[in-house]
Amino acid sequence: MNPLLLLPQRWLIPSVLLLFALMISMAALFYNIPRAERAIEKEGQRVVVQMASRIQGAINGQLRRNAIEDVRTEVSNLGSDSAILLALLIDDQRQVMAATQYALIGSSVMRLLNAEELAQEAESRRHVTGSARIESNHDYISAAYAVTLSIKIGEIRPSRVGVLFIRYDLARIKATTVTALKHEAMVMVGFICLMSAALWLIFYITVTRRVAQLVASTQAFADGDLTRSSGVTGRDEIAEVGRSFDRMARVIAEERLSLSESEQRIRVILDNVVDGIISMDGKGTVSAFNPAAEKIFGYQASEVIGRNVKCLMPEPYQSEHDGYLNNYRVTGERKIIGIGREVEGLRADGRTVPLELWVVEVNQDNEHLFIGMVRDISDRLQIDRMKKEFVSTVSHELRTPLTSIKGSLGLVNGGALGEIPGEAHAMINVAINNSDRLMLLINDLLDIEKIEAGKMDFHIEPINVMAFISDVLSANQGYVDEQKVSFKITSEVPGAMVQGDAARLMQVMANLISNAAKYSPKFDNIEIAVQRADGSIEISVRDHGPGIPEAFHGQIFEKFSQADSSDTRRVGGTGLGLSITRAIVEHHDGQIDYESEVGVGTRFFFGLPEYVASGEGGAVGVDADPEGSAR
Amino acid sequence: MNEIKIVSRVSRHCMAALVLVSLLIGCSDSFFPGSESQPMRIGSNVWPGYEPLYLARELGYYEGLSISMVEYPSASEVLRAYRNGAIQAAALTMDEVLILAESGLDPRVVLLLDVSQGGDVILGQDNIHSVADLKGRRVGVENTALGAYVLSRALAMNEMRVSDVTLVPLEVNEHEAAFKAGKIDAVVTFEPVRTRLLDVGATRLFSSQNIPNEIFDVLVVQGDYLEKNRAVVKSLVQRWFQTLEYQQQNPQRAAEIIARRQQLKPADYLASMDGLKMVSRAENIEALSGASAPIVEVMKRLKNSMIENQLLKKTVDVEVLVDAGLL
Repeated sequence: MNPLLLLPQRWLIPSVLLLFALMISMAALFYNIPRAERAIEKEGQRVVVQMASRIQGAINGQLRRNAIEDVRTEVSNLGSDSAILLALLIDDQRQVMAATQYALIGSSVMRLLNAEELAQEAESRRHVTGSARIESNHDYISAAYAVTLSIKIGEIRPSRVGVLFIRYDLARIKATTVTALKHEAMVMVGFICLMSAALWLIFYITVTRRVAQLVASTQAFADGDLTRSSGVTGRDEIAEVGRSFDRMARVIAEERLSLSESEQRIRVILDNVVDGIISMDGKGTVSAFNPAAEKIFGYQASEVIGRNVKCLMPEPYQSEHDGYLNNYRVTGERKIIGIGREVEGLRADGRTVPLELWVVEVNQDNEHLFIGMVRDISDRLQIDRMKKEFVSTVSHELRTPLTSIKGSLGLVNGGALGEIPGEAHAMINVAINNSDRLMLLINDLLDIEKIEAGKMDFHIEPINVMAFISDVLSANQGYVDEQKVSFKITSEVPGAMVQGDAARLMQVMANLISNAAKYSPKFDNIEIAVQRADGSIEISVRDHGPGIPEAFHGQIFEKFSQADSSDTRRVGGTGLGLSITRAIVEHHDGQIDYESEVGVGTRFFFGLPEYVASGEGGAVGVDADPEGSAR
Repeated sequence: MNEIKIVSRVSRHCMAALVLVSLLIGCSDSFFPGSESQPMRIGSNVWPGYEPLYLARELGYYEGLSISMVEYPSASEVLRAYRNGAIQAAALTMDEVLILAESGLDPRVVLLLDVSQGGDVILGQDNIHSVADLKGRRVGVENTALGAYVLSRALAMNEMRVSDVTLVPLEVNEHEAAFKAGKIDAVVTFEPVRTRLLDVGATRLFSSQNIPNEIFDVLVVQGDYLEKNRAVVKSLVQRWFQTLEYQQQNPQRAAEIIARRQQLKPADYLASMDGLKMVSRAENIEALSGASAPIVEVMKRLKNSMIENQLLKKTVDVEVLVDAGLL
């Protein structure tokens, strides 16, 4: 039982009732006793007046007839009333003529009555009156009634006056009544006690016991016994509470079950997923560590849970980790969160392992939780390295002989070995063209490889955009002529400057122009436009070719992609150009994109931050990318 | 915490209920107080001159007033009740009023009802022919009331003394039976016993016609009651005159009502009225008012006569007994 229940209802309500009833009965008693005493006095006075005046009349008649014995009988008869303590008939000499006690006859009244009574008797005698009054101590009533005594000889009107005196007991009647009242009150109190006990019992059966059961049920439920029912039956409010409890318990049990099922499913996924999943709090303390993570790091989950996640990091990351989290908490600036990146992990055996890491931040109940997902990329890195080495080796090994082939064919075609026949000339031209293509492909492959390895060099310098465009046009005029299309500059921004590597940007333009030329109808214009847009300079190249099919939009900048692989033959190209182009533009802090409508044409455009020569010099956004340098 | 709150709330309610209950108990006395105005009980014996008091009751003239009539068998009983405080007012003869005053009581004469002109008599058996014949005879008399005065006057006028006759004290309700049984030779009595005994052949020896303007019937009220309830008494006096007017205007109807109570035939009642004269409002005012009111002179003469005949042992101050302010 809850210790706070100092005064449970089953005690409180009957106790209050008992107290209440007792107070009422006591109040009634203390109020009733004086009232009853007053009533007794009043009624006693009435009785005494009635009796005394009746006896007075009778005695008057008897004395008129001189029937003194009748008078004595009359007075004696009063003795039969137990309430009458004393009755006397006193003559005009104040001597007792008749009394309830025979011995008193003839004696003087002075000894029989107290001063108060004597005064009353004298008053009655003097005025020939009758009165009954309550004694000053309220114990009895004294009545004095004048009577006319027998006539004297020679007298026409009786002049002698006697007094009938009666002392009437109140104390005993009062005592009896008070006792009866007290007895009545005791009976009432007893009855109320019984009622309270009955009420206690009723409360116990109908309320307390069931509430206690309900309390026990809820506590058991709170302690996890979800199958516990309230166990309260009936048709009253408590039963309704019980039913509500049962309903709630059922719903919670069902929800708990489905929750545990779904948790089970999620656990199965977590346990069987290939990636390692590590949960940690805002300070980096690990709270969950799945089997895949165990496999990657060589730890048992129990060894890691509760430790800081930095134990999984090699130096210098281990030392820096606290700094990262602190920094993040204070500034909200993310270093790694939400971005997949490659890192090194420290295994239990001290070896490092290359990992790909994603960190997800979860806000749960105002608490930051971080979930790290790691994938062992040792194998992938191995393959990548082997692939790069292979490509590099192959490219270099191909380029050297190809240079010789191309040089030799040039010499042959230039007539250095003498005039060659027309048919041979055509065949040599085919050989030269294909050598060029092969060279281009190899260069592109090497570029890609350099870009991916981060080994491409950039010579950043301020560039006058319009002068640069002019250079671009003359450099590509030959190829454009060859394709039987021409340039048209549709928009200029005179004096616009950007910072960049002019040779690389030339490579970007050549790529875009060659694509446009390839897909343009014959004798069409390639439209070149330079525009200022939102702090950057945008350069666009538009053709009126067939456009890029919808299905191909998502992969246009991917490696080895061409809209129609059947095109490769017809228009030439390696499928690496746009990929390289994007890498170069992005390296200049720019963005490249395109708009295309099938049957209408395509517009490629890229923006570069405008360079303002005055002021901050080379500070505008062309520094090495900090994230990039971290890679 | 909840429990504690409930406790305090419950106890607060209990306290309020207790206070309410005790207030109810405490106030119940003041909710049901005793009636403010003291009722006036008027006692009288049977006498034609008092009948308008009962006629007024029959006519409903007392409605709305706390006045009740109390009927006694004899004037002695009326006096006893008056002395005992059982009644606050009484219809009595003037000599009786003087005796009350002699006792030190405080009776106030507020109204003259009637004056006896033959209604009070001494009747003898058929062998008695005059007051003088009463010598040595048994004379029934209500000697604790008017009878003592009438007898003393009759004896005095015939130059006799009390010791010349044998007194048989009888109250008026006993007169008829005692006389008819021959237990007494003569009786000092009044209407309606007078008419009934004359009917059976009694001889009239003496009557109030022999002592005119001596026997007045009056309404007396206890002094302290009158002080506190003047309005009630005044209402009664006004109702009295109202009743007299009714009686004058409807003599037959009034006689029928009164005769029933007097156990007389209406004609006999009207005949009995010959023995007395009602005192009108104007006559009341004339008799009671002024510094030397005529009634005071009457009372003084009466007092002297009573002292002379040893009916009063000491003198009384008659002026203070009259209160003319209610007429």
